[in-house]
Amino acid sequence: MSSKEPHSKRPANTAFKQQRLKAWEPILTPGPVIISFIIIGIVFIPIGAVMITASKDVVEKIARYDNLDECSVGSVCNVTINVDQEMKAPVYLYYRLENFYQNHRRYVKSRNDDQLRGVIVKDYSALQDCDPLKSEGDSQDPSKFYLPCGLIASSMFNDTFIMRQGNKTVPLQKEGIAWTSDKEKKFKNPPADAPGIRIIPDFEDEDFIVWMRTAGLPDFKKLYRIINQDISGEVTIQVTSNYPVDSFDGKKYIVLSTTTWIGGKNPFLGYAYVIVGCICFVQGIAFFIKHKVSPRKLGDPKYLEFSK
Amino acid sequence: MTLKQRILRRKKARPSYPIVDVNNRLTNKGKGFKVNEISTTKYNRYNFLFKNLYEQFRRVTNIYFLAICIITLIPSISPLSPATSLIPLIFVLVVTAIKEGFEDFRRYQADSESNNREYLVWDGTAFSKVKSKDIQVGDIIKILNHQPFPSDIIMFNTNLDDGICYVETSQLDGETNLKMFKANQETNTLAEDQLVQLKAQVECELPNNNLYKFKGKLMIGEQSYSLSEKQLMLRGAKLRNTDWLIGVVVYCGKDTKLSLNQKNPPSKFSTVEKRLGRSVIGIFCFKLVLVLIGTTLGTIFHERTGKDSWYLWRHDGYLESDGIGLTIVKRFVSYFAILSFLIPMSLMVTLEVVKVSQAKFMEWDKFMSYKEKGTPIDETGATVQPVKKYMSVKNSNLNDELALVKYIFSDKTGTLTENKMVFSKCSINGAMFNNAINGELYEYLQKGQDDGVYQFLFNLSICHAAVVENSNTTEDQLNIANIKYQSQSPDEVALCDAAKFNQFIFVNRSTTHVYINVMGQQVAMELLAIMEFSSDRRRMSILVKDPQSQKILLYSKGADSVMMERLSQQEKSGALLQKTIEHISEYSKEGLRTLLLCRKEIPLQVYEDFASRYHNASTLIEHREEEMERLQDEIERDFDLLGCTAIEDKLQDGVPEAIDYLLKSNIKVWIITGDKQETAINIGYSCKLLQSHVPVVIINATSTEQCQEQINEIISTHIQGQDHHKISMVINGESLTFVLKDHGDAFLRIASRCHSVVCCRVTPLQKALIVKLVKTSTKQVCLSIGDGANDVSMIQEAHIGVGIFGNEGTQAARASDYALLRFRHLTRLVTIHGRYSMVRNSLCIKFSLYKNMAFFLVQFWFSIFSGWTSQTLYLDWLITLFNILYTSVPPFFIAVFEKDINETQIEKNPGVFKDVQDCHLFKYRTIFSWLTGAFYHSLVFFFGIYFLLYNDDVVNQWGKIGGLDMMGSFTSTFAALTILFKATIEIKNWNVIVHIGVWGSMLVYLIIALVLNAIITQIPLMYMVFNFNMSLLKFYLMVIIMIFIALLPDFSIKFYRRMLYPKEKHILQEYYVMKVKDNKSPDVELTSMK
Repeated sequence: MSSKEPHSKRPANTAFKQQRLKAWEPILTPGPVIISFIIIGIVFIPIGAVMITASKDVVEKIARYDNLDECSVGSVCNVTINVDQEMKAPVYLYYRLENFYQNHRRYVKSRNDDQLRGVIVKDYSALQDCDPLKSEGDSQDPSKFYLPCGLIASSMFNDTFIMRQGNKTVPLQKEGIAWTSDKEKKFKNPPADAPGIRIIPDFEDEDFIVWMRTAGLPDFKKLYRIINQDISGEVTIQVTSNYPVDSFDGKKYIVLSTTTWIGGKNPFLGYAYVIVGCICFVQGIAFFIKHKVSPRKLGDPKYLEFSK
Repeated sequence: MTLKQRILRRKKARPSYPIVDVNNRLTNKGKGFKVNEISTTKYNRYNFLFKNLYEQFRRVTNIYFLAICIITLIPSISPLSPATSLIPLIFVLVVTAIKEGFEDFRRYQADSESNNREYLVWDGTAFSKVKSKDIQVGDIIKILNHQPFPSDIIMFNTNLDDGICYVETSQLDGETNLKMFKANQETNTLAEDQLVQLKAQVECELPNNNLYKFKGKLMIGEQSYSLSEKQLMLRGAKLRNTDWLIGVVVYCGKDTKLSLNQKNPPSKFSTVEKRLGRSVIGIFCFKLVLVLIGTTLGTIFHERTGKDSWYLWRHDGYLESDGIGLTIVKRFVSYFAILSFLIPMSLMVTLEVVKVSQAKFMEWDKFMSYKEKGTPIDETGATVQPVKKYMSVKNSNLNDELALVKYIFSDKTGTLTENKMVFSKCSINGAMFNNAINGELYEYLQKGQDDGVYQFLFNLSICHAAVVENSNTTEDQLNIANIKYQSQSPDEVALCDAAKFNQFIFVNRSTTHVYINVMGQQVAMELLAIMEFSSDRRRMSILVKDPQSQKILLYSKGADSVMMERLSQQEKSGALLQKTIEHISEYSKEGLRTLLLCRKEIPLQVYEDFASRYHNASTLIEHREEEMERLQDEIERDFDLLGCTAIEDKLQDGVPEAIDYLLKSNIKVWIITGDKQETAINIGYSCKLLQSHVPVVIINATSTEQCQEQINEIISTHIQGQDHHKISMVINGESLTFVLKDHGDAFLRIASRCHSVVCCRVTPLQKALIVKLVKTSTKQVCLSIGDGANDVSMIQEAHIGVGIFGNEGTQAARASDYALLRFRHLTRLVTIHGRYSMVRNSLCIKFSLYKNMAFFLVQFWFSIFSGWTSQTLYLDWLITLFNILYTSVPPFFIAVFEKDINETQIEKNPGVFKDVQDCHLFKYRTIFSWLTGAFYHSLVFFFGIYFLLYNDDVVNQWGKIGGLDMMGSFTSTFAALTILFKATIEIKNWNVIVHIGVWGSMLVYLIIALVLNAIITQIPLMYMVFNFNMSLLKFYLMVIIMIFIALLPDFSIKFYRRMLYPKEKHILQEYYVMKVKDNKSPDVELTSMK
């Protein structure tokens, strides 16, 4: 039987049990709110302005090449970019794909990170995620396993670019295009005698590592090379086009871009700060005026309907 | 015999229980008697897992999430890893199982204690110790003083004269007074060694749950004797004041009346809970719409683009894409799974834990505790210090419903009053005595006068069912003045005491005699019959024979209306009655309870005729009560009037203030009492229910037509006019019967305008009917409060039942949802705890719905850009831990600690209760606006990150690109933080625990994120992503601005509402913070509430 009698044991008469713990009871009073609105405005607008300027300072040159006749798959072509504004070193060379769903559920999961870390995977069921590209003929024999397995590795972007200015080849730096943590820990070559069918010869290849970090949106850029010299005037990029995108209406671009402290050319963050700052500032001022013209006395019992 | 005849025969056949052979275990075997081992547990250690899971999966939400889990177990279609839904489900199941298991273990402990208690059972040669669980039907058992009965037992004899014994039944019905029981005359003469040799059989009725009725037959040889509830000792009761008792076990284990009475009370659900249920269904429908949209567009995408994307479908050199049918199924199932979290799985468990905690805080509340005045006496007779007692919550489901109360129905006696009766005045033979309690009547007799005073006092001392405490020491009554009486009715104690103070001292009652001490002389009246009091009869009588004069006398007392009809014709027309009626109405106006005392002499032959018929009736098995009642009715007539008594029942402390506060809180208070109209009106005024500035309308019709007339008149004068003034109503029980039958609607038109209502002369049955009428036709939340057994129906009928632990036992308290000690605590329970529970639960629920919607709807927006594939944006682990770790604490703490207005302000401003009363805190509109907010936030979260990465996903000055994992970790970070900051905007009461809870949750998120991003082997995708984020300036700038974009509208709207359209609660918050808090300590206490 549960307790039927009134509770007669004496509970400790503590602030906790009596729900009388000291408490901070903040309320939105006009003074602090107006001041915070104005301060936020004053702080956010300049921050935003600085970011917009930074974004404007970025020089970005973009050129689509998959639609050029000479750049069809299997051919080598030249794409000319006119850099009318000087691009200060370092300049970054990207390739950009559009309408390419690297974030497709089927695609994202289709990898095996153990393999990529150089671990020899012998268990066929461990390759489950790599479906549909686990092994040749879906064989359970480790020597038929794809190395690495999965859709991502097998569809690695394989156009190559050589950059020329005038007759000179511009040196392109490959080191440092991937994340350091990826290069150090996530990608390691398997032992040379590891069984399996090699899809990618070198797992530590930074181009491969960059490709394996799948993009979040269907239109994305990937870092290809770093150019350690200033660029201005006309540059020619020789493209070896191997990568088919026509079947799914994809687009391929070459992008040259400088960076600032905030990254590339994207004014969104700057505008967001300016707009939020302005809204806060205007609200602050509006309320300041309202508060001065017809203030509502705080805690005035005349507003209590029941006491009328 | 035709089938029909057979059925009829079967119906007529009296259902009977197999006959019990006394002291013969062999022949009792196989008769289907239950064992005495009791088990109130739901589970045992073997079936716990299985049965508990079965119970839990009867909840729709659990089945729903189980279905989601099964979906996630199919890797080819699931967008989530199984852990994401499995871990939260297991968490919910485990928490519930632990709670259930703990409760069940406590039941098991209690069971095993009573199962293993040892009793003396006759084993053929001697009484030997047997464990309670091994006792069987038919065993002869010996119970010792203070032992609880292990099963239902027919007693044969005790150590006391005439085989009487005293029993305490507080475990059964909560009544603490001792009750006297008496063995049959046929067995109470037998000695112990004769009893154990007894060859007898007992025939009992089928086991049933009526505690107060029993019929049976004892068959010894050819003779059979009737058995009644007077011989049946019930399991759960305790033997007191009696050294031993011998009897035979008749009902065991589950057949005992106690077990048959242990039913679960009907479960009540609060408005908030019902609305939550429907809101969840609404969200589910919304989810289905999204799923269908996702499936359709996903299939279209697949047909147009998806299946041509070679990088998605290559397989050993050829392309192998899904057909349209498979695509539809895959999309549907995966959207169904990924959007499952729009419904917060943990909310139901959170709410259960929350309500239990709220109940604990109510029980701990010192302002709802009470320390009895005076010094009670414990079992050994020593006085003990009074203990502070606390209220108890029986059904925490209704915590928030308390805030919606619109009608309170209150019993009067014991609820509003102390139920400590004090004999105040009396009228004897037309003369009024105001000081009888101080021996005025004794002095009057001493002066040699009489005028009926002697008979009056004689009646007082003899005509009652009270018991003398420790009456087994009657032999030498050295200290008669210290005699204490116990009775089910406190009125009787007051009457006995009054007689005692006038030297008419009731000493003892045996089965054959009543002993009283009349002014120092022992008088032993031969007891012939007691005709007990019942709420239907409203009178009691005692039939005695004076041994000296050999006269047969019937003494009687009862309610004046009942007794007046039973006076002799001569009295009815006499002046004495007129005078007495005048006195009665005078007493009533003072709010006193009156009783009429009568007496009559019965001629011997009339008595003899009556006695034989009465005896026959008493041995009937069928229709015994009806027959006896008919005979009682026959003899209780033609009385001579002795006088009337007036008993005062003081109002409890703080009742007028509490009622005044409740009325000001926009709660309509109805008092339902059996008192006369004058008494009721008087009490109405004294407890401020009726107030001089509020006109009172009275309905006291004697026919349904008159009732109609009165109602029409009230409507035309008070209701139809332009002037909407308040009115109060008084209605009597007779009119109520007409109202309940014919004029319900018109009556409610008046009642809904009434500030307060007094219902007088109401029968217990009507109490529940009134509540039902108001409940069903106004659809408002009704609360009933009462203390006695007759209030139980009303308490169970109302939405919320409140019981008062009273002198009339704890039956009402046990049937209630909340059991209080005093009426005045009701204001605190309703307006403070009820209000806070409402504020807390509604905010907790709204916030939980909001957070899941805001966080997980992002998945849908993202899927637009991932080819409608329901790829998750967030890391699986963050999804898993979202509901059980880093956003679960704030809603829980809100639901335990939140206060919208400080207590002191609520106490001072009863009107502020209106603020919560219409449930606007949890209207569908309110929920919808919260969900709209969540919708907006989800858009902000997703499109914020979308525009940040749109056309340019370069994240730092070294030209690095983020990718999907970084995008997800950005989003989950600012989404989680925004959700937690949203809680900070809503919380009004920040104590140290809340601070820890909210800021701690943010810290927990960051810690989780850092930990997850360091485990390369298990979560390679996340490896170092969060660390990378932390190195980016963009990350911090992004998190800050996203929180601002999301919360700026929420914050601004809150501020504008407060400034431009302030509500009462805003004003009181300001008033408190600006005026009260700085000057005084927040512990200001208001007298009306303590």
